Amino acid sequence: MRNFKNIEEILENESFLASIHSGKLDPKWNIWLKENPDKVVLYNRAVRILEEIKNDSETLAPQRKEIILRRIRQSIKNEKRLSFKNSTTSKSPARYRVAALGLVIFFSLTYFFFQMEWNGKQELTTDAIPVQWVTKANPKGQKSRIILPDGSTITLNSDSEIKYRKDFSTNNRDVYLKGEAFFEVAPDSLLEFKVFSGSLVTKAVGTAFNIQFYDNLKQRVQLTSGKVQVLEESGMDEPVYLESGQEVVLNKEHRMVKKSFDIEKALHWKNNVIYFENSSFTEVIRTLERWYGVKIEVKNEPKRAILISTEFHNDYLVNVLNTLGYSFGFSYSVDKKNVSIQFNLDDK
Amino acid sequence: MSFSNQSDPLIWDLISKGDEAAFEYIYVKYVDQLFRYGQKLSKDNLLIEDAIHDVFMCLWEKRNTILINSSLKYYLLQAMRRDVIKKVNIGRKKKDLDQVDPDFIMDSSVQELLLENQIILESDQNVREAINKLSDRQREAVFLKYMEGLSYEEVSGLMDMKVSSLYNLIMKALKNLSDFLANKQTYIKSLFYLLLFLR
Repeated sequence: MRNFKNIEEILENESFLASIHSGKLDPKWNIWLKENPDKVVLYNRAVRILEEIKNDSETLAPQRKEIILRRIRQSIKNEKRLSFKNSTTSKSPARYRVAALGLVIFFSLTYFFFQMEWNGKQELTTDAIPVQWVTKANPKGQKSRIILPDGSTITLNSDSEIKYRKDFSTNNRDVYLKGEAFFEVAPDSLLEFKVFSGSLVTKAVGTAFNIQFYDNLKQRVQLTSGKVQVLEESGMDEPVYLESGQEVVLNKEHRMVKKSFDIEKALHWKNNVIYFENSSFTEVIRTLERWYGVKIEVKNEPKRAILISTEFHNDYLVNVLNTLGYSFGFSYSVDKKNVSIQFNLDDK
Repeated sequence: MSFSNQSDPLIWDLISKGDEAAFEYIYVKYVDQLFRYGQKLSKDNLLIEDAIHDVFMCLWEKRNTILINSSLKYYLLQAMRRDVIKKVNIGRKKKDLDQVDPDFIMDSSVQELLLENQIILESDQNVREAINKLSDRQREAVFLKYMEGLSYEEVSGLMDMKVSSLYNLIMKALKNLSDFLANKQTYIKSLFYLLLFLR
């Protein structure tokens, strides 16, 4: 056997690699080690390096293996069904190809309203197989970004929650939203991307849009580019198709009304800008509570309607309160997560 | 029917005829390797799992059309690499839109913290540390060469680089590892003497 001068040479040796992988040391190495006692350190290091390279990864837990296999089986089943239904459908989903445009959805809806809708909807989607859900939620005062299994991403606002089924992107691309979120949807020619929020269902036809739903009576879907279809669950209205810069607003009679809107303003929250345009005082308070994760108590609120139009860029809560307090005549105090706002009496 | 004593080309033949059991056998046989390899390319285990799903889906969908010139294992590693890198890139593009990813930040700081608190005298940890110091490409190359047992030609084909540069890359990685170990050894020795001296 040749004389190995360094670790590299030992590691390059086929019989060395084979003996480490199989766990059986080639007797030639034993002899070599005995003949070269000064090389034992070198040899041991080589062994350790190899073992460490081996251990340099986590192993996949058996349950995870099983889950992936089940997903693959499910996808194969889908594939069969699809090609049976429509033999001309391309076998390789287009989502594996790069698409020029992403899809942007933006949602927002009131928390309490949602709870009513939410609980009802869960039951509807239960099949024979128990549905497994993936849920991601943010407490007040925290935002996060989520990458969905199909490559779509969601920027989730504070005090919001999304959930989707475990088989997302194999059987469906349905997302259920509570609160407020910004969606960028990866294109897929086979599976529609659907967002269920309150009484609206938004279907991505394949480009970029933007939805807003602040209140039961103020639901809104806004399209920033491309095309979407919006359905109202009661089915009173025909589905509405939007083009970029257009929005659907749900009016008091729960009818969908098409308008145009300002794309930049609709995405302010995502860029850490608090933006108000003719917002009611209640709406402002609710937004601040969500944004900063605080509880705000209001005393002596004046009867006259307050409409607020302003914006704050990545500002501290006290700065926001100072500005608002100065304009609308209130003082405030902050105790940890509790804020108390007191309108000046002469203003009443 | 047991597949374990069948060769890959034979099993592949069954798969291309639509044998789902053979297909699942291949999944079970290679899923660990693919997962380990995925970890050389991304830290996101869920992303890696998705990639495994997509690789096998793709394999099944194209079972009639794929010609496997080299080995099935090589084909899978290649597909895995392509898929993980594509997914990572998609994630990265999306990331630009948002500046903060709290999960990620937390992850790396925890790791740093762990690294800092690592007891240097633990010899096994030294190697781990040394491996962590390798570049991503070095880790990938070393993994493919010494763990998957691929030839230089195969690794260079997979990583899309010349054999000569691959050779240099691997040699450099090994040298880094052994230098690091040698340095640590002397460091530990001096620390040991220092401790003796202090007593």
